[in-house]
Amino acid sequence: MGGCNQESGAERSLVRKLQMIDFAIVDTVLYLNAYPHSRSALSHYKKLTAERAKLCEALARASAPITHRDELSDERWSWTDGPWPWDVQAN
Amino acid sequence: MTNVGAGPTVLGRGTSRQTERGENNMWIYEKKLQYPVKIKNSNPKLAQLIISQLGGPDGELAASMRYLHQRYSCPYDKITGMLTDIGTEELAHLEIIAAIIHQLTRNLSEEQIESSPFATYFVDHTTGAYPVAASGVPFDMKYVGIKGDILTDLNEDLAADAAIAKAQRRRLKNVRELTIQSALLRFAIPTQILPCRNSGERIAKLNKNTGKERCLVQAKIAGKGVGKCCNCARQLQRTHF
Repeated sequence: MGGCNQESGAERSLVRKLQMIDFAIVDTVLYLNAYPHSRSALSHYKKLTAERAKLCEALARASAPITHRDELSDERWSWTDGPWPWDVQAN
Repeated sequence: MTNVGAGPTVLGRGTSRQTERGENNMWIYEKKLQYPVKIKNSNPKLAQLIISQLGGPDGELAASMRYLHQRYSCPYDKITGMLTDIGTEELAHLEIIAAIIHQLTRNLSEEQIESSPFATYFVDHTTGAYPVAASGVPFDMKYVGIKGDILTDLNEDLAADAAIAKAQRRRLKNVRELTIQSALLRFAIPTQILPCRNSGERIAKLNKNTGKERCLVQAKIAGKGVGKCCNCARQLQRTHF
């Protein structure tokens, strides 16, 4: 539930997966910038971003939206809930 | 500018999915670190060393400003893209370092502060994350070279990222001694080496430029209405043309 101070283990593991995928995306983007015709890199990129979209949605459903634009609830604004990324509890 | 009054603007219609594809020309905050930071024990002495990675001459703030502000005078769209993506990633690194400082300075006791080199920092900033070099000099743009000449700027990037990787290796040794999260810095070093390789490849390509490319750049500079492009016509000839 949103509003509590300790991020749940499930949310943490979703964020951890997102961190790994995003790092892969960052590197793939730098590669594609240099080699824009690489089909294998392009398909890798698409696979990663599709996986990322699923993770972002799952986080939003768990009241832990990754950006404020992902907020789903009609009842409560969860964007400013802690812990924030630099807090030990979030890592 | 041409679309004023012609319907709803793009602002506000964006979703995070659009952001991923780079369709929004802006930044938006994502509520996660690029790499997790979980430090068990506070250590003000180490914080005082690592703070240089925040606001020092080879720090992440300098790196981000370097890349992001070199973009505007870059006549090659592809290189502008590279500078944008790397400059953005450096901002993510900046947040990682601030998180390290934050966690290293949690729940400090009075003796812990007084007996460490962190004491002088604490006088002015307590446990805030202030971008400053380990020597105490606050962040300064004099660490950053932006010359309006892409080949000069890319060489600056190459030198700077090599310096960052080297500084991080030095710090990795410290971190090992003090037995905290060394995996974090092992993550950090390759993130500086990849930009190095990118800058290097771009420089090699620019150096190979032929007459055809020369006209393209000339046209682009004219198109931007810059005229002289930069104050150093001689350098311009050597690098752009």
